[in-house]
Amino acid sequence: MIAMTKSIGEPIHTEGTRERCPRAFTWRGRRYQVLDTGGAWRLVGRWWEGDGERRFVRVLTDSGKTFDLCRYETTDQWHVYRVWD
Amino acid sequence: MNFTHLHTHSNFSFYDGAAPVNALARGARDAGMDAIALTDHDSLAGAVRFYQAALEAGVHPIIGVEFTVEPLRPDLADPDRPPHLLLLAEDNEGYANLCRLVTAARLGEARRESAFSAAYAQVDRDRPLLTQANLRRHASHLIALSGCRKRGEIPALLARKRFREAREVGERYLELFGLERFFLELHNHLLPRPHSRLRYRLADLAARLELDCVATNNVHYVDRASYRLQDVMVCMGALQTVDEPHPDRRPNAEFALKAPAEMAELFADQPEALANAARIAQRCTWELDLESFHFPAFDLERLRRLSSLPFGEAGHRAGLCRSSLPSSSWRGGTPFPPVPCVTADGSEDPSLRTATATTTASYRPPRADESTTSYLRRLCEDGASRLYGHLSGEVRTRLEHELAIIADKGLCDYFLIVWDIVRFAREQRIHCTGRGSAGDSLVSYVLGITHADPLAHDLLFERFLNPERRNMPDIDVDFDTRRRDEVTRYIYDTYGAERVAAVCTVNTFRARSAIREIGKALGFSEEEIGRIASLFPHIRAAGISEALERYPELRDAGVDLEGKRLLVELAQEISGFPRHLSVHVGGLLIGARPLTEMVPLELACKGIVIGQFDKDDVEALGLVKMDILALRIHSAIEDALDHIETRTGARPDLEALPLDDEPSYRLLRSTHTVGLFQLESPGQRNLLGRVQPTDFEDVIANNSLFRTDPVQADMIKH
Repeated sequence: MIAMTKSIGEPIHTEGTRERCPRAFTWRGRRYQVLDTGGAWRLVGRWWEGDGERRFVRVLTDSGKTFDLCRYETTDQWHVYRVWD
Repeated sequence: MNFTHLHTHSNFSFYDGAAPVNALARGARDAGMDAIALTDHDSLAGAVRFYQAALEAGVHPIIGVEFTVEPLRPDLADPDRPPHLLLLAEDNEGYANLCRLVTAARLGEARRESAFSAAYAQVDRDRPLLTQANLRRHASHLIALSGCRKRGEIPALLARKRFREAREVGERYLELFGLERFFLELHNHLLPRPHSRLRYRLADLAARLELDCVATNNVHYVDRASYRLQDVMVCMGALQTVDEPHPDRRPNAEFALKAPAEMAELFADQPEALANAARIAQRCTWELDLESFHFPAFDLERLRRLSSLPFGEAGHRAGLCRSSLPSSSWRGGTPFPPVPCVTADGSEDPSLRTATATTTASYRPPRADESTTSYLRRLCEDGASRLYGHLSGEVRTRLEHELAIIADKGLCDYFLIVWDIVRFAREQRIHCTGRGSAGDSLVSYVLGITHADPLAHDLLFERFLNPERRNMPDIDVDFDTRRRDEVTRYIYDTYGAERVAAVCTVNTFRARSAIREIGKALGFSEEEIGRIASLFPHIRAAGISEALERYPELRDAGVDLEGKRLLVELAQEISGFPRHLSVHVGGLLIGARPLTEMVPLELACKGIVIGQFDKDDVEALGLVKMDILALRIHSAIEDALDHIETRTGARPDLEALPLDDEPSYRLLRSTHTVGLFQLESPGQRNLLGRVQPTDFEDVIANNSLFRTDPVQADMIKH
């Protein structure tokens, strides 16, 4: 099976956010409950232009969809980085 | 939780590691670890200061090297990026093997052993490469770790899903090191898939080979904040800007000196790999001996052999029968009488006297039953008799005092080595003078190493050699610049190339170099960076901010630093980081045994073999360093004597020059002294004009006053 992904990069509202992963989040008007996580990783962008570290976490939600969520160190804001279909 | 970082790079991994060794040691202590390893790339240059820093911080030091090695599967390797293998010294014999391996990898004598190494050398012949043949030769007492994710041969093959080949490489290293000394190295740098899965593949392979794994973090800096410095350093080393990708750049800031708890969290599913790190650390018992001196023995037999030869056969290099002692003291300029030439048994041999018109025996050769201690004493007594006429109470007392301390500190051989080098130079008519604190020693004086009478000038021996301190005497000798290499060659010939190497100097980043290199990597134009860098005086990079406020030429230069805050910050962070090793101006290391057992060697530019330890490291290790310095004034004096001889037919004896020559003092008082050694600078001339010297003590005072400390202390008043 080939998984299809879409890059999104939209900010989201999170609930019960721990440092590594929110317990739930709302994206495009729908609330997603995080059931499990499937890995976390960190990347640094163009630090010389002010980019901070981004922390990623892959989450399995109650909708059956898998999301890669991303949090920017500089803003502390969570985003949907990628959606796995 | 007990954990030890076994894969740790300091800034002696040039253009890669961003952690000073003392910061690593302190960082380990602060994080509650009781040990830490240093494993720089193909180098042990930071080993001594790391050892000292670790002891100071109270953590157990472990030494290793991450080698660039010839691949076991060259058909699957890139000649431009050979694999890495990490080796840790299990004990002192392991450390000696690391020294041998670094030397073998750096000197490159085995480069043409295989098609791969030849191809690699074509890319860049100066890069180090450890051949498998050399590795096999010195693999004992070493613990091997499979290396980092990208460059370890096994992980790199696994990442490419070359499972069979990875297993084959694993089996071959297992065969070489055995189960107890070979580990597969696991990292968890919080990378996305598939990289994050690599450690499970490694663990799987380890299980198949019945090997153990070990968790490491491939540390490149202490704190995450140093990530950007490390990244920019990689770009600097690759001569590229930060906008360009490079395979050695790390994707995140996880290569820090993480605390044991953090490592435990990262390897929660592989706890045995963490435990193995501590287990390996406990096995590593490397210790540096910082208490003893390691003097090469002075070969009395060689002198006996040489002196038993007819003068002609003794040869140009040995030249045993010319004057090697100063012919006068500073006191009265009394030439000392020629001493009969003698043979090995001490009897006079008239034939030696006729060997050359200028021949005079400089010393009596050692007797068959003589030790270096008694021979040194005899040379000193002979020299004192020549210089003082007889051994007066004062001379005798001082000589006994110095010889007792020298013997007690085990320095007799050292003094004979220096004496022998100076003897050779004099016999070859190579102008030389000992200088510095050695001038405080009567032994140095009567051996002809220095020319100033320490008794006449009331000089204190303890300033040179303090019996209460463990310090290596430092005898600096200046030689005629044009002929210094002859002296160096004599030392190599006498002690053997395997026991002699140049001391290195660690060149560090300073303000200008830091601004230039970091500026280029950040993408500023050469013109802009060159303009800013050239405004800075030669100061430490750490002082850039202060200099910007303090120096008017910088303040008023209109340097736009608005967009360069990052440049200034990074330049200050890199301040003092080692940049490369170069050849010390005159220091030669002479080993008691082959140097490669104690000191890693490498090839500096111009093909000179240098030790990877600088003068402070060498002193800490108690190794012998001879400063064979070049001084151009000796060349000028030689030229002047030649001219005088050509014009007048007579060659002045410098040792016999009177020290009360009034026209000379008149010249000094006139301050027209440009061209006079040490008395020609504007400051010196100014001082001469005010001191108005009338005797030699005034000249000494003049020269002593114009030093950094008195000048800074404002001791020289108008």
